[in-house]
Amino acid sequence: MVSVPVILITLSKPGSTLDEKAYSKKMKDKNKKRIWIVWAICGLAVPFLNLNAQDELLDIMANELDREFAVLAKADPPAYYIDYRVNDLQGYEISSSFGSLMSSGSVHRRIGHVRVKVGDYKRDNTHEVDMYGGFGRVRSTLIPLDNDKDAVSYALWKATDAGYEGAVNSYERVLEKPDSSEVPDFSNEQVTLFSEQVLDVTGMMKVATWEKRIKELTAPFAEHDDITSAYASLYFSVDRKYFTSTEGSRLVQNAPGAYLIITADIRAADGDNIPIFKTYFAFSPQNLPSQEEMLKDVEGLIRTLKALKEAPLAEPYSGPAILAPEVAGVFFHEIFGHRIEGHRLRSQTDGQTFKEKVNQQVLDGSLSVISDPGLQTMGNRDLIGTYKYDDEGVKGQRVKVVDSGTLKSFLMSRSPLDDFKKSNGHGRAQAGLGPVSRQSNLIIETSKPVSEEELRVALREECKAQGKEYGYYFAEVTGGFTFTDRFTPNSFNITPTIVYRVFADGRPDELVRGVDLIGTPLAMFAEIAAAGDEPGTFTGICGAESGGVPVSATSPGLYVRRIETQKKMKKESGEKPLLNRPKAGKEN
Amino acid sequence: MKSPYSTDQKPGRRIDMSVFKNVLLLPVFLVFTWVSLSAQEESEVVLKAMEDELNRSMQELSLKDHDRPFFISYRVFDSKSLNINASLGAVNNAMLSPRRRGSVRLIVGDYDFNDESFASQGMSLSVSNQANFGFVGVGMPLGADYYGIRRYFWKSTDNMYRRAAKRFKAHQSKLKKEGKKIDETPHLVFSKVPVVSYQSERLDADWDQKAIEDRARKISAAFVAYPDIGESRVNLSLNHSREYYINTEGTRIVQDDAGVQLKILVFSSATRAVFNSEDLNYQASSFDELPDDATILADIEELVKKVRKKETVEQFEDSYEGPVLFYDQSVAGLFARHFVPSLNATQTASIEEETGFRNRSRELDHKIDKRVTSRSLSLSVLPGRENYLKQSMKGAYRYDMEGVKATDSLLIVDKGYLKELMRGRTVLKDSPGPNGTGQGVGVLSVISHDTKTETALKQQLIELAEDEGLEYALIVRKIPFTGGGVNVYKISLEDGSETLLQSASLNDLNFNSFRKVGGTSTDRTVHHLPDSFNGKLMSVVSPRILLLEDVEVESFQNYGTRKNKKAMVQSPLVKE
Repeated sequence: MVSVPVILITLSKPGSTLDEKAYSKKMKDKNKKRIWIVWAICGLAVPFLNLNAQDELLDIMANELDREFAVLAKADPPAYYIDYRVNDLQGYEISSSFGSLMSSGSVHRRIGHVRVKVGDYKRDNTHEVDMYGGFGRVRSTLIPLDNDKDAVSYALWKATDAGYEGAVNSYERVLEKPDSSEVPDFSNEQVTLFSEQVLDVTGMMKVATWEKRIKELTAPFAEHDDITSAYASLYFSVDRKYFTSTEGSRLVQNAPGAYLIITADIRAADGDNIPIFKTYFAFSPQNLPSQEEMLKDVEGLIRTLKALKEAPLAEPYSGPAILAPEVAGVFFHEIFGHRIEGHRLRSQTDGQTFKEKVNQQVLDGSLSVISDPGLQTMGNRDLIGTYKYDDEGVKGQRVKVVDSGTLKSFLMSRSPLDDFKKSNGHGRAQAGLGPVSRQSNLIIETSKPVSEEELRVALREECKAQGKEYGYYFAEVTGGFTFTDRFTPNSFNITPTIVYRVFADGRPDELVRGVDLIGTPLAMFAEIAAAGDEPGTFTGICGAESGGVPVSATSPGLYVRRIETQKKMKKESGEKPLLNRPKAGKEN
Repeated sequence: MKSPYSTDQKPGRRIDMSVFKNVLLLPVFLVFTWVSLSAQEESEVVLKAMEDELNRSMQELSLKDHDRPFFISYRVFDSKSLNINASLGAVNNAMLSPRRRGSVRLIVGDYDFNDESFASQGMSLSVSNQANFGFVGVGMPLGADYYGIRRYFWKSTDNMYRRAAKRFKAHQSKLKKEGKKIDETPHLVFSKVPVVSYQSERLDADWDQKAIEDRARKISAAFVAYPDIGESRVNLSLNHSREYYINTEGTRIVQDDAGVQLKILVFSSATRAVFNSEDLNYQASSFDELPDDATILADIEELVKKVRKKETVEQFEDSYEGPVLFYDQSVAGLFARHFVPSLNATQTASIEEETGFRNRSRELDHKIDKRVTSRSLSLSVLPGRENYLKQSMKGAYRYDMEGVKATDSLLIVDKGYLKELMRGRTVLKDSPGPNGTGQGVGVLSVISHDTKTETALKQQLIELAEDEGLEYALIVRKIPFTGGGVNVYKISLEDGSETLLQSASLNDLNFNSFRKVGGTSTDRTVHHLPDSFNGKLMSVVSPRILLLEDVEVESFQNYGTRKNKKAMVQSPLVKE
């Protein structure tokens, strides 16, 4: 984990009895003073920091926001809230294939977002009308890399003007169709001031060293002519996030991440192209596993590919299965995690699986589910879903969503629900998009852990009871997807890469290929019968309305009495090349 | 204009979680590092890798029951570009991007009958820029990576050979089934050309990025003083390329190319109209050859005057069909957009043979020795002329994409009659061979045999309009690079006075539009325009003024042409 000194001051906003306009003005006056105090403390406490000139950006944003709000708050209809968010994204990408450097470059860009709200907290332009809602609606624009007041202000001004016009148009539609809902459209939250030191992105990334390492990671694949592709890539970036709102919040925080992925494919005798993946994540490149460790993993990948090449294709199946911890993590992320994202439960188009199930048992009583964006590590692994404040400036909070099988809460952004009027800091978005409630670090805990061997015993017994020759062990997975709306069946699909048959009679496990794990959520929850004692973490990028956000899912292995599989889409690898692959040390 | 990042989301349908492969799909714009090996050493490695794999493929590629390849060519296109966008004195992004692409051409059969014989030229000449047709991939690596480059060509060649061999076998079977001999059937042949060995002068690509960024800042800062006009954008792009071409006939070519382009674009409203724009465009061979700051700033001042004038200008809201007088860049633009695209020979007989369908709407093949333009016009392409009329021709090239030497002059239209079309190495049997134009027009020279003074042309414009029974005539002075509406000048038939109108649209222009030319000016101008055929520049030397007698002009209807709406808040550029 990158260690950075921070200064944190949280100001409490008084209750909502204050007139909003009066409050805004009062807060602006107050915050000018408070912000000054924050920076003064910063300077005294950590004089060596020499805060980077990048932070001038926040002042420019705040000044332009004040200037805009002074006019738009008095316009007809008035804007009651505006926030500016800028993602300053600086990163590097290096990739290789079969030991050759394919790319090595850097990126630096700034994307600004303007969110204008017209109406008031109770009813505003984002209210859903005729099944069309404005969750996360923002205007976005490229912001200059130079902290030039004229240029930055001009870009924000243009986006604000368009944002206000769009908000007014939406608000007019909202007023035309009043409804009786008492749930506010936007929650009242604490005003937050937070500043984090600029990271030395260039210093954190040793480009020449990593070019060599990334090339080395794909070189071993070149020795095997049946391996048709091999790629490794390292993407290291720091997303420095700026946020300021007319409520008075001002934040600057860093979201660093080094992602390394190794992928390869092998050609089976039937032409099927079989993929395999290995991923790593750390907050900085130096925290990634050692080269020796990763090269050992590469050897393992090659061995697994060779085994998969010879593995039989699996037929569709229904019966008992064990999900390895990382697979169980993806399973929970898809079938459960997306159904507890609060903003969906406001939408008339969503399936709202759990909306009316608060304080009801939804999982086995031994299971609890927590979302914790503040958690930075699990064991010795950095957690990718970590952040301090969400993209609406609200502190990311630990939320016990399910306590001993009973549903207690949802993941909330600033779009409230009947009984959940406040955000718990889960409003998230990819740069370029507006925030909605999303997952962070999802953790599944069990109060009755059992060993993997006990899970296997239970599976074998269930196989016998169901008259099945074998059950499945899902060992590794690339990801999955699910549908939560009312227009399509509420199904999910998990895409495993390594799957074994576990035989009821105790024969050794058999590796198979071509399997996808499918099902529907409520039916599947009822079949979870036991959980293991060794948690594992899946690390990934989750894509939904507000774009791709980094998430993790930590879970013990799960024993499920009945799952269903379908055949995976076959990927043709083409014919074997007529000549041998050119490679060093070979005469060709 | 809707921001590319704006969003009007509806609740999601499908929600994915996956490993980091998705990270690679994020819309990131990468600034690449430049490899450290010297350019000379790297060139040697690239060529050696190309030659070794070419030789191996030619000697060893073989597919049972199929013919072996008789011709293979490899191309590597190394490019490096520095692209800087700035506005109001600040850099918005700066992207240094080296890129390497490769392509393969492989032919099975022989010069007279091969796998390309029954395909359309456009299809058969398509080369594989991706190694991954139907395969998981082997891409082209960066740097002096001997085995990486060979792997790319190995996989691409294998892919190309299988397809070509099977296609040729299908051609042979077709003839056999129909009981025909190849000489009795219209078909394409692959022309023999001289073997070439050429290494161009090496051009420098060591740019001072900071100095270039500072220049972009300085130029863009000029617009801070004009808060009343719309958004301004300055784009400064420097390009360098090195192209390697080798084939199994023995041709070896290494060519360097370099250029700089400065584009300045201003939208005419400070609020929300986007298509009413004015631009400045400068091309040079190197950064140092761009005009000096004083010249550019003076041009910007004139540009601002034009933009301000447009703020009060009405839109063209009529439907007009009649004579139009074109000036300067718009004349070059007319020829580049509406005449040049028809100048490639399309080998239609073989298309007909292959598909049974023949579309003659956009081809000129069957019009050789027939009149295609006004008798007052003659057109030549001169891609090999690096200098012409004492000016540098930025579109010129030495060798085309098949290693054929570019022609110094090819007469295409002689006093209205079509004499030649541009041909590469693949031509119809018994047709003339390639004519050194395989990489596009390069340089187009338009000569008029009916020249007049500007005053006479304007008078003729008025008379033609009167003869058509029109109430006014039109003049076009510029066709914007950015597309959208065109500014037109409405000419009073009574006193010749001009009234500027914006947002007109020139409809249905094509090569037939040049059949009715009322005359041109005596003087000629040079303009360098983008050539959509090859992504490079095309130099057009054409009369400064051209009178077309029959042009349709209508109102340009677009979101961007709606009435400007005043911003709620004053621009931050307006200082109190």
